[in-house]
Amino acid sequence: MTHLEMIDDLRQTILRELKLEDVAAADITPDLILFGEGLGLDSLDAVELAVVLEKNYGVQFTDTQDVREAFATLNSLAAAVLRLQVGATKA
Amino acid sequence: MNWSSKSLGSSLQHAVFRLLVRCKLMPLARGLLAVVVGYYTLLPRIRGRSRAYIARRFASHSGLSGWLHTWRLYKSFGNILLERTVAGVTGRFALIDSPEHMQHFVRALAEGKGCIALSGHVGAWQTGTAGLEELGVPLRLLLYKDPGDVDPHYFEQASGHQVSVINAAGPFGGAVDCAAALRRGEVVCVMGDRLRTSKDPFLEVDFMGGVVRFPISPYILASITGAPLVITFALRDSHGIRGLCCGVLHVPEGLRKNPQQALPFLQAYVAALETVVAEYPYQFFNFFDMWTYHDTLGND
Repeated sequence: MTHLEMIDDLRQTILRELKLEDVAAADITPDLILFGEGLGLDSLDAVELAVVLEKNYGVQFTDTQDVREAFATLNSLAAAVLRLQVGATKA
Repeated sequence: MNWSSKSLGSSLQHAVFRLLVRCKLMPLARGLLAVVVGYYTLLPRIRGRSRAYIARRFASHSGLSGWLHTWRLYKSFGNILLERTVAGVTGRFALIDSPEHMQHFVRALAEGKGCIALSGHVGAWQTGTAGLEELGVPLRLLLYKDPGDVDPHYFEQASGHQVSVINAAGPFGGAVDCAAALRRGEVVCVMGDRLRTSKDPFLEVDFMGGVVRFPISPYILASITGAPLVITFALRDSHGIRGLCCGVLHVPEGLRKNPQQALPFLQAYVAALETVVAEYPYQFFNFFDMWTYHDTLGND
């Protein structure tokens, strides 16, 4: 999957799994801040997202700092998921 | 009045108590504690912190009765903190074996999703976690630590404990760390009786004759991770610290978007808390008015 395809896939995953009914897909731009400001997700959304990422993409974040950086935007999240998937494949 | 985890005493005061304990000067430590307790009972801004609770818990709470209840409450708290210092310095815990209590946790952990120990600011809640170390898995305490919180926990005073703090003031309110710990099969200890910020999800429940906003994030965390919730308190009696299990909750998936469904689970917790307060009235340590709402909380 390419970076852009992953961004799109994650966008749909976030909308579906976090049940953001009042948000349009086009609103979640690649550099929109996901947590706090921007999309306004909260800490429990972060937990839910981490569980979904493990279930749907087979990736686990083991360090809170990694989570913080990865969960900043769709761009950073896509990059992190692809990187972790590659890492898992090599292992 | 908002709550704060900021210590009343300074680092120096805490260090003095630790020194007295280290030098085995317990009578002096108890004497100093008596002076401190008396001082805080007399100080209006400190005495006022427990007024709302005392007024609800005791039918006779005005005048001298009120002062006496306040003194007994603060004395109880002071003794528990001193005992925590003794535990930290000497490694000696006044824990009473509670095999039945431990079995609830063993069965919960056997489900393979970790376990959430849901407690409250009651009794010896900090030292009581030492009893859970027998489970042989790491314990993570989700706590909010104000910059001015200088009270060291017993496990911060000595090495060899499998206990660490997840700071609720950290990234994502510590929730991601809690979920990761549960995924590893660990025990996460969470307090269910205080909202951390005004943005925390809550439901209103009757508690001691008035409406209180209780957090529902522990139940949401359980719903997302599938971890069982064990309602547990560590209470001090004349023999020592006893673990008490007041129920094991299994929260179904989907609570995140239907938070009202947390109500029966929250009510089970609050009922347990009321029972404990009825039996141990001087071991309820929420020193703020839980029944008065604020648009913002101290940790916002």
